[in-house]
Amino acid sequence: MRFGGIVLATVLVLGACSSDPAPKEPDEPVTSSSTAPAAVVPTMPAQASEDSPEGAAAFVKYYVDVFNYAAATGDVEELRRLSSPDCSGCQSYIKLYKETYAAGGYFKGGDWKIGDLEVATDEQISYLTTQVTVEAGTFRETADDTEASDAGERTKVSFAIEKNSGSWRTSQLGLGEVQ
Amino acid sequence: MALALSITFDLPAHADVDVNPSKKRPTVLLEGERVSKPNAKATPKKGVAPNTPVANPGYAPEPLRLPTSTCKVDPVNGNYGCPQLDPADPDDADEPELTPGDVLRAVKEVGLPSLQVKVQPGDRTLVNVDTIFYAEPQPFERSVELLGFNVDLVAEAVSYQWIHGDGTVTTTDRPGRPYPAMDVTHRYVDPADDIQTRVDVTYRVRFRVDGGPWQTIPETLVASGPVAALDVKEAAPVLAKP
Repeated sequence: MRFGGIVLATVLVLGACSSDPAPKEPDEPVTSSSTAPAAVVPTMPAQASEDSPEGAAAFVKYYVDVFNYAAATGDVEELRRLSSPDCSGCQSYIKLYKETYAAGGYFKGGDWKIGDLEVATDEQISYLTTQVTVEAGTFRETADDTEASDAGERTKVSFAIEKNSGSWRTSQLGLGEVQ
Repeated sequence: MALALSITFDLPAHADVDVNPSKKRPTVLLEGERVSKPNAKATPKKGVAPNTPVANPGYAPEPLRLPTSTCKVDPVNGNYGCPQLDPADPDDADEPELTPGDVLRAVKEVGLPSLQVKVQPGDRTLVNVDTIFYAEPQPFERSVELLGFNVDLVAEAVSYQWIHGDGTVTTTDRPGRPYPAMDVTHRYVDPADDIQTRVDVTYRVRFRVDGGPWQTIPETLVASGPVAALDVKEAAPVLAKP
Protein backbone atom coordinates (compact mmCIF):
# COMPACT_ATOMS: atom_id res chain seq x y z
CA MET A 1 0.00 0.00 0.00
CA ARG A 2 1.25 3.46 -0.82
CA PHE A 3 0.94 6.24 1.67
CA GLY A 4 2.04 9.13 -0.62
CA GLY A 5 5.71 9.16 0.27
CA ILE A 6 5.59 9.39 4.00
CA VAL A 7 8.39 7.83 5.92
CA LEU A 8 6.98 6.10 8.95
CA ALA A 9 9.37 5.29 11.69
CA THR A 10 8.13 3.46 14.73
CA VAL A 11 10.37 2.98 17.66
CA LEU A 12 9.36 0.35 20.21
CA VAL A 13 11.18 0.24 23.47
CA LEU A 14 10.63 -3.07 25.18
CA GLY A 15 11.36 -2.67 28.86
CA ALA A 16 14.59 -3.73 30.51
CA CYS A 17 15.64 -6.83 28.61
CA SER A 18 19.23 -6.77 29.70
CA SER A 19 20.22 -8.09 33.16
CA ASP A 20 22.21 -5.06 34.16
CA PRO A 21 20.29 -1.89 33.78
CA ALA A 22 22.81 0.56 32.32
CA PRO A 23 23.19 3.68 34.40
CA LYS A 24 21.25 6.43 32.75
CA GLU A 25 23.45 9.05 31.23
CA PRO A 26 22.22 12.59 31.64
CA ASP A 27 20.52 13.77 28.47
CA GLU A 28 23.04 15.44 26.19
CA PRO A 29 21.71 18.52 24.54
CA VAL A 30 21.08 17.75 20.88
CA THR A 31 22.70 20.33 18.63
CA SER A 32 20.77 20.45 15.40
CA SER A 33 23.03 21.08 12.43
CA SER A 34 21.09 23.91 10.86
CA THR A 35 22.31 25.76 7.76
CA ALA A 36 22.09 29.09 9.59
CA PRO A 37 23.11 29.52 13.24
CA ALA A 38 20.47 30.94 15.55
CA ALA A 39 20.06 34.39 14.03
CA VAL A 40 20.61 37.53 16.09
CA VAL A 41 19.76 41.00 14.77
CA PRO A 42 23.04 42.65 13.63
CA THR A 43 24.32 45.77 15.40
CA MET A 44 25.08 48.91 13.44
CA PRO A 45 28.83 49.57 13.06
CA ALA A 46 30.02 53.06 14.03
CA GLN A 47 31.07 53.87 10.47
CA ALA A 48 27.46 53.41 9.29
CA SER A 49 26.43 56.58 11.12
CA GLU A 50 29.05 58.76 9.41
CA ASP A 51 27.99 61.52 7.06
CA SER A 52 30.42 60.64 4.27
CA PRO A 53 30.71 58.29 1.27
CA GLU A 54 32.33 55.78 3.64
CA GLY A 55 29.44 56.14 6.05
CA ALA A 56 26.90 55.70 3.26
CA ALA A 57 28.65 52.53 2.07
CA ALA A 58 28.87 51.15 5.59
CA PHE A 59 25.15 51.88 6.12
CA VAL A 60 24.11 50.00 2.98
CA LYS A 61 26.27 47.04 4.04
CA TYR A 62 24.53 47.10 7.42
CA TYR A 63 21.12 47.43 5.75
CA VAL A 64 21.81 44.29 3.69
CA ASP A 65 22.91 42.41 6.84
CA VAL A 66 19.62 43.34 8.52
CA PHE A 67 17.78 42.46 5.32
CA ASN A 68 19.32 38.96 5.34
CA TYR A 69 18.50 38.59 9.02
CA ALA A 70 14.84 39.52 8.38
CA ALA A 71 14.69 36.97 5.54
CA ALA A 72 16.03 34.24 7.81
CA THR A 73 13.79 34.99 10.78
CA GLY A 74 10.73 36.98 9.78
CA ASP A 75 11.77 39.62 12.34
CA VAL A 76 11.33 42.81 10.31
CA GLU A 77 11.48 45.32 13.17
CA GLU A 78 15.01 46.62 12.52
CA LEU A 79 14.57 46.45 8.73
CA ARG A 80 11.45 48.58 9.11
CA ARG A 81 13.32 51.10 11.28
CA LEU A 82 15.99 51.49 8.61
CA SER A 83 13.52 51.89 5.72
CA SER A 84 11.44 54.91 4.79
CA PRO A 85 7.71 54.22 4.60
CA ASP A 86 7.88 55.73 1.09
CA CYS A 87 10.51 53.22 -0.05
CA SER A 88 8.31 50.90 -2.11
CA GLY A 89 11.11 48.41 -2.78
CA CYS A 90 11.93 48.20 0.93
CA GLN A 91 8.26 47.82 1.91
CA SER A 92 7.77 44.99 -0.63
CA TYR A 93 10.43 42.95 1.14
CA ILE A 94 9.24 43.83 4.63
CA LYS A 95 5.75 42.68 3.66
CA LEU A 96 7.05 39.48 2.02
CA TYR A 97 9.11 38.44 5.03
CA LYS A 98 6.43 39.29 7.59
CA GLU A 99 3.64 37.53 5.72
CA THR A 100 5.68 34.43 4.79
CA TYR A 101 6.67 33.69 8.37
CA ALA A 102 3.20 34.56 9.67
CA ALA A 103 1.83 31.91 7.30
CA GLY A 104 4.30 29.32 8.59
CA GLY A 105 6.69 29.66 5.69
CA TYR A 106 10.41 30.46 5.71
CA PHE A 107 13.49 31.39 3.72
CA LYS A 108 16.77 29.55 4.17
CA GLY A 109 19.96 30.67 2.47
CA GLY A 110 19.36 33.10 -0.37
CA ASP A 111 21.52 35.75 1.34
CA TRP A 112 22.40 38.89 -0.55
CA LYS A 113 26.17 39.39 -0.93
CA ILE A 114 27.17 42.83 -2.14
CA GLY A 115 30.25 43.89 -4.10
CA ASP A 116 32.05 47.23 -4.13
CA LEU A 117 29.71 50.20 -3.93
CA GLU A 118 29.62 53.11 -6.38
CA VAL A 119 28.64 56.10 -4.24
CA ALA A 120 27.43 59.53 -5.36
CA THR A 121 26.15 62.21 -3.00
CA ASP A 122 23.77 65.09 -3.73
CA GLU A 123 23.21 67.27 -0.68
CA GLN A 124 21.38 65.10 1.85
CA ILE A 125 20.89 62.03 -0.36
CA SER A 126 23.45 59.38 -1.24
CA TYR A 127 22.99 57.07 -4.20
CA LEU A 128 24.74 53.71 -4.18
CA THR A 129 24.95 50.94 -6.75
CA THR A 130 26.44 47.50 -6.30
CA GLN A 131 26.44 44.04 -7.83
CA VAL A 132 24.33 41.74 -5.65
CA THR A 133 24.88 37.99 -5.65
CA VAL A 134 21.84 36.21 -4.27
CA GLU A 135 22.96 32.85 -2.92
CA ALA A 136 21.10 29.65 -3.56
CA GLY A 137 18.59 28.68 -0.93
CA THR A 138 15.31 27.00 -0.11
CA PHE A 139 11.96 28.43 0.84
CA ARG A 140 8.38 27.58 1.67
CA GLU A 141 5.61 30.09 1.22
CA THR A 142 3.19 28.76 3.82
CA ALA A 143 3.04 25.90 6.33
CA ASP A 144 1.11 23.82 3.81
CA ASP A 145 3.51 24.27 0.88
CA THR A 146 6.36 21.95 0.04
CA GLU A 147 9.86 23.24 0.26
CA ALA A 148 11.34 24.52 -2.99
CA SER A 149 14.87 25.51 -3.98
CA ASP A 150 16.06 28.64 -5.68
CA ALA A 151 19.38 28.70 -7.51
CA GLY A 152 20.01 32.36 -6.71
CA GLU A 153 20.99 35.07 -9.17
CA ARG A 154 23.22 38.08 -9.82
CA THR A 155 21.92 41.56 -10.52
CA LYS A 156 22.80 45.21 -10.02
CA VAL A 157 20.86 46.88 -7.27
CA SER A 158 20.75 50.56 -6.35
CA PHE A 159 19.93 52.30 -3.09
CA ALA A 160 19.09 55.88 -2.22
CA ILE A 161 19.64 56.73 1.44
CA GLU A 162 18.76 59.92 3.29
CA LYS A 163 19.55 61.39 6.66
CA ASN A 164 16.51 61.21 8.91
CA SER A 165 16.84 62.62 12.42
CA GLY A 166 20.59 62.31 12.20
CA SER A 167 20.77 58.72 10.95
CA TRP A 168 20.67 57.13 7.52
CA ARG A 169 17.50 55.56 6.21
CA THR A 170 16.89 53.79 2.91
CA SER A 171 14.49 55.83 0.82
CA GLN A 172 14.71 53.95 -2.48
CA LEU A 173 15.59 50.39 -3.47
CA GLY A 174 15.58 49.32 -7.09
CA LEU A 175 17.19 47.26 -9.83
CA GLY A 176 20.02 48.38 -12.11
CA GLU A 177 21.80 51.73 -12.14
CA VAL A 178 20.57 54.99 -10.66
CA GLN A 179 18.57 56.90 -13.24
CA MET B 1 16.21 -3.45 24.07
CA ALA B 2 14.88 -1.01 21.64
CA LEU B 3 13.35 -1.99 18.39
CA ALA B 4 13.13 0.50 15.63
CA LEU B 5 10.66 -0.16 12.92
CA SER B 6 10.67 2.02 9.90
CA ILE B 7 8.45 1.76 6.91
CA THR B 8 9.47 3.67 3.81
CA PHE B 9 7.60 4.24 0.63
CA ASP B 10 8.92 5.16 -2.81
CA LEU B 11 8.62 8.84 -3.53
CA PRO B 12 7.15 9.71 -6.91
CA ALA B 13 9.47 11.93 -8.99
CA HIS B 14 9.01 15.65 -8.33
CA ALA B 15 10.88 17.17 -11.28
CA ASP B 16 9.30 20.58 -10.87
CA VAL B 17 10.28 21.02 -7.23
CA ASP B 18 14.02 21.46 -7.74
CA VAL B 19 14.32 25.03 -9.08
CA ASN B 20 11.58 27.56 -8.56
CA PRO B 21 12.16 31.29 -8.83
CA SER B 22 11.36 32.49 -5.36
CA LYS B 23 9.32 35.66 -4.80
CA LYS B 24 12.30 36.82 -2.76
CA ARG B 25 14.48 37.20 -5.88
CA PRO B 26 15.17 40.90 -6.48
CA THR B 27 14.47 40.55 -10.20
CA VAL B 28 11.03 39.25 -9.22
CA LEU B 29 10.07 41.39 -6.23
CA LEU B 30 11.75 44.60 -7.43
CA GLU B 31 10.65 44.27 -11.05
CA GLY B 32 10.02 47.77 -12.35
CA GLU B 33 11.54 49.44 -9.27
CA ARG B 34 14.20 51.99 -10.14
CA VAL B 35 16.19 54.42 -8.03
CA SER B 36 16.14 57.90 -9.53
CA LYS B 37 17.64 61.29 -8.80
CA PRO B 38 15.35 64.34 -8.71
CA ASN B 39 16.42 66.10 -11.96
CA ALA B 40 16.16 62.95 -14.02
CA LYS B 41 12.42 62.92 -13.39
CA ALA B 42 11.94 66.15 -15.38
CA THR B 43 10.92 64.88 -18.78
CA PRO B 44 9.25 66.98 -21.49
CA LYS B 45 5.52 66.60 -21.75
CA LYS B 46 4.15 64.86 -24.83
CA GLY B 47 3.45 67.15 -27.75
CA VAL B 48 6.29 69.56 -27.02
CA ALA B 49 8.86 69.70 -29.84
CA PRO B 50 12.36 68.71 -28.66
CA ASN B 51 13.85 72.10 -29.54
CA THR B 52 11.19 74.18 -27.84
CA PRO B 53 12.69 75.99 -24.87
CA VAL B 54 10.86 75.01 -21.74
CA ALA B 55 9.64 77.84 -19.56
CA ASN B 56 10.16 75.98 -16.30
CA PRO B 57 13.58 77.07 -14.98
CA GLY B 58 13.85 73.93 -12.92
CA TYR B 59 13.83 71.71 -15.99
CA ALA B 60 17.12 69.96 -16.52
CA PRO B 61 17.12 67.95 -19.75
CA GLU B 62 20.18 65.98 -18.75
CA PRO B 63 20.37 63.59 -15.84
CA LEU B 64 22.13 65.08 -12.84
CA ARG B 65 25.78 64.08 -12.94
CA LEU B 66 27.41 63.63 -9.57
CA PRO B 67 31.02 62.82 -8.69
CA THR B 68 31.17 59.12 -7.89
CA SER B 69 33.52 57.15 -5.65
CA THR B 70 34.03 53.42 -5.57
CA CYS B 71 33.92 52.22 -1.97
CA LYS B 72 35.64 49.00 -0.97
CA VAL B 73 36.01 47.21 2.32
CA ASP B 74 39.48 47.41 3.84
CA PRO B 75 40.33 43.77 4.60
CA VAL B 76 42.43 44.83 7.61
CA ASN B 77 39.93 46.77 9.68
CA GLY B 78 36.66 45.90 7.93
CA ASN B 79 35.84 49.58 7.32
CA TYR B 80 34.91 51.10 4.01
CA GLY B 81 37.39 53.28 2.12
CA CYS B 82 36.37 55.51 -0.78
CA PRO B 83 39.03 57.23 -2.92
CA GLN B 84 39.20 61.05 -2.83
CA LEU B 85 37.89 62.88 -5.86
CA ASP B 86 38.55 66.56 -6.44
CA PRO B 87 35.24 68.09 -5.34
CA ALA B 88 35.89 71.31 -7.24
CA ASP B 89 35.48 69.85 -10.71
CA PRO B 90 34.61 66.17 -11.01
CA ASP B 91 35.23 66.21 -14.76
CA ASP B 92 38.89 66.97 -14.15
CA ALA B 93 39.43 63.85 -12.12
CA ASP B 94 40.61 61.87 -15.13
CA GLU B 95 42.70 64.58 -16.81
CA PRO B 96 46.49 64.65 -16.31
CA GLU B 97 47.70 67.67 -14.41
CA LEU B 98 50.84 68.01 -16.54
CA THR B 99 50.09 68.56 -20.23
CA PRO B 100 52.41 68.13 -23.23
CA GLY B 101 52.03 71.92 -23.65
CA ASP B 102 53.58 72.45 -20.21
CA VAL B 103 56.49 70.20 -21.15
CA LEU B 104 56.95 71.96 -24.49
CA ARG B 105 57.20 75.34 -22.77
CA ALA B 106 59.76 73.95 -20.36
CA VAL B 107 61.86 72.47 -23.18
CA LYS B 108 61.88 75.84 -24.96
CA GLU B 109 63.16 77.42 -21.78
CA VAL B 110 65.88 74.82 -21.34
CA GLY B 111 66.78 75.17 -25.00
CA LEU B 112 67.57 72.41 -27.46
CA PRO B 113 71.09 72.16 -28.88
CA SER B 114 71.76 74.25 -31.95
CA LEU B 115 74.49 72.92 -34.22
CA GLN B 116 77.34 74.72 -35.89
CA VAL B 117 77.22 74.12 -39.63
CA LYS B 118 80.46 72.84 -41.10
CA VAL B 119 81.30 73.67 -44.71
CA GLN B 120 84.07 72.18 -46.80
CA PRO B 121 86.07 73.76 -48.23
CA GLY B 122 85.63 76.15 -45.27
CA ASP B 123 85.82 79.98 -45.48
CA ARG B 124 86.17 79.93 -49.24
CA THR B 125 84.66 77.75 -51.93
CA LEU B 126 84.13 77.86 -55.69
CA VAL B 127 81.19 78.12 -57.98
CA ASN B 128 80.01 74.92 -59.62
CA VAL B 129 81.90 72.77 -57.16
CA ASP B 130 80.28 70.36 -54.72
CA THR B 131 80.54 72.18 -51.45
CA ILE B 132 80.10 69.82 -48.50
CA PHE B 133 77.82 70.58 -45.55
CA TYR B 134 77.67 68.64 -42.33
CA ALA B 135 77.02 69.00 -38.58
CA GLU B 136 77.94 67.12 -35.44
CA PRO B 137 74.72 66.18 -33.59
CA GLN B 138 74.54 66.50 -29.83
CA PRO B 139 72.38 64.12 -27.80
CA PHE B 140 69.82 65.76 -25.53
CA GLU B 141 68.67 64.02 -22.33
CA ARG B 142 67.53 66.02 -19.35
CA SER B 143 65.58 65.59 -16.16
CA VAL B 144 63.63 68.57 -14.91
CA GLU B 145 61.02 69.25 -12.26
CA LEU B 146 57.75 70.69 -13.52
CA LEU B 147 54.75 71.51 -11.32
CA GLY B 148 56.08 69.08 -8.74
CA PHE B 149 56.54 66.23 -11.21
CA ASN B 150 59.87 64.65 -12.19
CA VAL B 151 60.00 64.85 -15.96
CA ASP B 152 62.60 63.05 -18.09
CA LEU B 153 63.19 64.59 -21.51
CA VAL B 154 64.80 63.15 -24.64
CA ALA B 155 65.12 65.06 -27.91
CA GLU B 156 65.91 63.43 -31.23
CA ALA B 157 66.86 65.33 -34.36
CA VAL B 158 64.42 64.35 -37.08
CA SER B 159 65.47 66.74 -39.87
CA TYR B 160 68.17 69.20 -40.82
CA GLN B 161 67.58 72.27 -42.91
CA TRP B 162 70.77 73.55 -44.53
CA ILE B 163 70.59 77.26 -45.32
CA HIS B 164 73.21 77.77 -48.02
CA GLY B 165 73.15 81.53 -47.87
CA ASP B 166 72.36 82.03 -51.56
CA GLY B 167 68.61 81.76 -51.08
CA THR B 168 68.52 78.01 -51.46
CA VAL B 169 67.78 75.42 -48.79
CA THR B 170 68.33 71.66 -48.60
CA THR B 171 66.49 69.44 -46.16
CA THR B 172 67.85 66.09 -45.04
CA ASP B 173 67.18 63.64 -42.25
CA ARG B 174 70.90 62.99 -41.71
CA PRO B 175 73.55 65.34 -40.34
CA GLY B 176 75.99 64.66 -43.14
CA ARG B 177 79.65 63.71 -42.88
CA PRO B 178 82.94 65.46 -43.60
CA TYR B 179 85.10 64.99 -46.72
CA PRO B 180 85.70 62.51 -48.37
CA ALA B 181 81.99 61.64 -47.83
CA MET B 182 79.66 63.58 -50.09
CA ASP B 183 76.45 63.18 -48.09
CA VAL B 184 75.08 66.73 -48.20
CA THR B 185 76.44 68.93 -50.96
CA HIS B 186 75.53 72.17 -52.71
CA ARG B 187 76.82 73.87 -55.86
CA TYR B 188 76.97 77.65 -55.82
CA VAL B 189 76.12 79.32 -59.14
CA ASP B 190 77.22 82.89 -58.50
CA PRO B 191 80.25 84.25 -56.66
CA ALA B 192 79.56 86.19 -53.47
CA ASP B 193 81.38 87.34 -50.41
CA ASP B 194 80.51 86.61 -46.82
CA ILE B 195 77.37 84.60 -47.44
CA GLN B 196 75.66 83.39 -44.32
CA THR B 197 75.29 79.64 -44.00
CA ARG B 198 73.74 77.78 -41.11
CA VAL B 199 71.83 74.60 -40.22
CA ASP B 200 68.43 74.53 -38.45
CA VAL B 201 67.70 71.30 -36.61
CA THR B 202 64.15 70.04 -36.07
CA TYR B 203 63.74 67.98 -32.90
CA ARG B 204 61.04 65.64 -31.70
CA VAL B 205 60.78 65.57 -27.93
CA ARG B 206 59.70 62.61 -25.81
CA PHE B 207 58.99 62.85 -22.12
CA ARG B 208 57.85 60.76 -19.20
CA VAL B 209 56.32 61.88 -15.93
CA ASP B 210 57.44 60.33 -12.65
CA GLY B 211 58.86 57.29 -14.44
CA GLY B 212 55.61 56.63 -16.29
CA PRO B 213 55.26 55.66 -19.96
CA TRP B 214 57.10 57.71 -22.60
CA GLN B 215 54.95 60.21 -24.46
CA THR B 216 55.79 62.18 -27.59
CA ILE B 217 55.01 65.88 -27.90
CA PRO B 218 53.19 66.32 -31.21
CA GLU B 219 54.80 69.67 -31.99
CA THR B 220 58.42 69.64 -33.09
CA LEU B 221 60.93 72.27 -32.07
CA VAL B 222 63.53 73.95 -34.28
CA ALA B 223 66.95 75.08 -33.07
CA SER B 224 68.65 77.54 -35.41
CA GLY B 225 72.39 77.18 -35.57
CA PRO B 226 75.08 79.89 -35.55
CA VAL B 227 76.17 81.29 -38.89
CA ALA B 228 79.29 80.23 -40.77
CA ALA B 229 80.35 82.88 -43.24
CA LEU B 230 81.58 81.76 -46.64
CA ASP B 231 83.15 83.38 -49.72
CA VAL B 232 82.25 81.91 -53.10
CA LYS B 233 84.89 82.54 -55.78
CA GLU B 234 85.17 81.94 -59.47
CA ALA B 235 88.80 81.00 -59.86
CA ALA B 236 89.89 77.56 -58.82
CA PRO B 237 91.93 77.80 -55.65
CA VAL B 238 95.09 75.83 -55.28
CA LEU B 239 94.28 73.22 -52.71
CA ALA B 240 97.63 72.90 -51.04
CA LYS B 241 98.85 73.18 -47.54
CA PRO B 242 100.12 76.69 -46.76
